[in-house]
Amino acid sequence: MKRSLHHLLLRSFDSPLSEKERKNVKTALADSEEFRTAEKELTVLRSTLRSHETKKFNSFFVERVLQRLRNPQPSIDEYYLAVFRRLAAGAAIMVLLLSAYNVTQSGAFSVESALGIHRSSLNQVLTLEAPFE
Amino acid sequence: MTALHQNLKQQTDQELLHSSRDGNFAAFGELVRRYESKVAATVVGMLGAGNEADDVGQETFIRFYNALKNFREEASVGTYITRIAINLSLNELRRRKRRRFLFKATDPENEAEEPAVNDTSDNFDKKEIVERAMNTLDPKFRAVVTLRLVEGYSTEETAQILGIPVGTVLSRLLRAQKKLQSALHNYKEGF
Repeated sequence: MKRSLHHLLLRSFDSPLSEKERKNVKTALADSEEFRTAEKELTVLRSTLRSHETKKFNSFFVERVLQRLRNPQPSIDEYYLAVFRRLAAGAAIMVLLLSAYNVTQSGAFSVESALGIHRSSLNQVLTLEAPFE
Repeated sequence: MTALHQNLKQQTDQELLHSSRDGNFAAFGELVRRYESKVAATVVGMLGAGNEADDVGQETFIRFYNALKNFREEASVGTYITRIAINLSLNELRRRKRRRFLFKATDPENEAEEPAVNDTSDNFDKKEIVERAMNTLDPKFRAVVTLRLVEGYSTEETAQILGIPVGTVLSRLLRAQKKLQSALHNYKEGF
């Protein structure tokens, strides 16, 4: 079956077709066995999907919703967010304290001293003699 | 059935909304009862049946209750709740995808959860086949199929719920149906 004809068939289920397009579909339905099969398949597919409407939640769904409204519990996401916030705040304070300590110890106010980074010379690194002194 | 329940059943959605806003849980319960199957069709259509779908269904109504004060009734209750349900289902599908990505290498059971589409076993009935084929669709296509084909919303309503143009709904429907058709073709002869 031509791609354009298949496209037209799919479209015919969901949007209005022009007079010419409708005629094309009608002709294809009359002439082509393949087109008729495709149309049948689509009809079956769509009716099978529609039968999903009967799906239900587990028993006592309404009661469970009302129970949650009467006794609101924080969700697992909210719980993790609260824990993360506390940990993040604690960690930020620790970083600040350590940076302040480093600065006071080195006596110089710079990013390197706050982070405790030592500048080593190339010679020190290559000779491996007390590179951080 | 008690007289209170009977009375609630006869009330319109607007009356129930009004009472719910005043903290009347029984009135809200009636709204839940009224829209449970609609939400179930959406959520189960998107996620498949199971406890996750049930949780998302509950969360949908909790969010709706919390949003009651902001709900201006420009859309119908059904459309509004469906929009919440679709958004929560899409979030859940994203979470599932992340989980699958994280545990793919270590947990072989995850692979078995959603079998390959070209499984030709005869043990599946038509519904199961369709459900499996649905699982292979990208979430944005699944949302369109669920609203338009499972729930029977018009293309305009589907576009409104998803906040996308009607043309996009039609093109997604087209592509989704092509994919479903070819997936189903692999399962059964003469389907």
